[in-house]
Amino acid sequence: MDQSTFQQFVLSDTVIVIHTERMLDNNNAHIMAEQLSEARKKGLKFAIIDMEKLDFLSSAGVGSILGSIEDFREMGGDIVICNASTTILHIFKVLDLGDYLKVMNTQEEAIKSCK
Amino acid sequence: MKSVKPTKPESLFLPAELTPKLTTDFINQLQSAIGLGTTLIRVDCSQVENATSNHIGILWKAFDICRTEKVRFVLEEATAGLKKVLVILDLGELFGIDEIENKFIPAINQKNQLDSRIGVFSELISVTRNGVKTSLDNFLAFLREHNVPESVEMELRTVLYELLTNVIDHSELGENDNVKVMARIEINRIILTLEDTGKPFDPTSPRGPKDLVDLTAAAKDRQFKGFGLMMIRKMVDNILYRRKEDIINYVQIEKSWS
Repeated sequence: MDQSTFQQFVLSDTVIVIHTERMLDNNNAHIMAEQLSEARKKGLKFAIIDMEKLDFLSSAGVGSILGSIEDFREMGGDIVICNASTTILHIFKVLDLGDYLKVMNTQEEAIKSCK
Repeated sequence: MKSVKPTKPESLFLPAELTPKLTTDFINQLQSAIGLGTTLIRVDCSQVENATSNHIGILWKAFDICRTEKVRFVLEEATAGLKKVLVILDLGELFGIDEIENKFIPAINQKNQLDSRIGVFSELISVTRNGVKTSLDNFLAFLREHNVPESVEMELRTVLYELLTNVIDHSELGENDNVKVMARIEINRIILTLEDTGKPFDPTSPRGPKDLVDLTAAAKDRQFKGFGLMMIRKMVDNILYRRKEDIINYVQIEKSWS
């Protein structure tokens, strides 16, 4: 299913929350990449990606996040993942991304970590 | 424990306990014997009193290799325990076990339980995004029907998605063309194959830079070419590509779980 944008909320001068849909794949990964890029251009240092609805993640989906993460880190910020299911976390682990990605259990914890 | 050491090139010994190393050694010796030109493989099963899913899995794999290579495959001195499991799984005839003792038949509940871990999936899908979606949904239902663990289920869906996406992106096939998707679940193991008639595309050959060894490095280098293939390789035990009859891309992946 094509979509225009992922739902997003700017929480402060530095933090934005982006909610994924059920799938983050070749059909919509470019939208995620664009929203992350826009957020960075606006000076937002932290992007929280809330994966509560997500149950499928393709290489394009992973790439859309990894493609921006170093840019956020160079600004002194980060991309923070939250509310990911155990199967999505398993995928991160299989891909050896467990230590590379900043993953928090809840959105509240993710927001608190954005300092 | 006895080691896997054939007494003759065409004779293999199936150990009572199978470690990953013994399993690998067994298959290596089988392939080596076939490579030496043997036309008959005999497997001594005399020590396998308590047959496990690993025993059935390795016998199936050996049988499959022999069938592909047109080599005769014979079980020798199968114990009552091994025969029982083979008969319950309806594999008795396949492995030449014809002694179906009455006491094996009433184990119907066990049969059903084991049968749920064996199955075949086959479908022809159109080379479109909708075809991919339909195939993923059907494949997921198949995996669930056969009680594949959730974490493995997610990896297999991802692998199928990436393979099908490669066909869409690289095969130069259109919506009037098809991809054949087949899967066979044995006990705690799956073999998934895809066949298409598109432009040759080998997913086993690296696409990214030689030093792109993991995804973290990819992110740091902002280099994502070959990313999907890298993911596939991380999620499966084996991946094999053949160009068949110069017109078919044949991809086979294998994955086991405990």
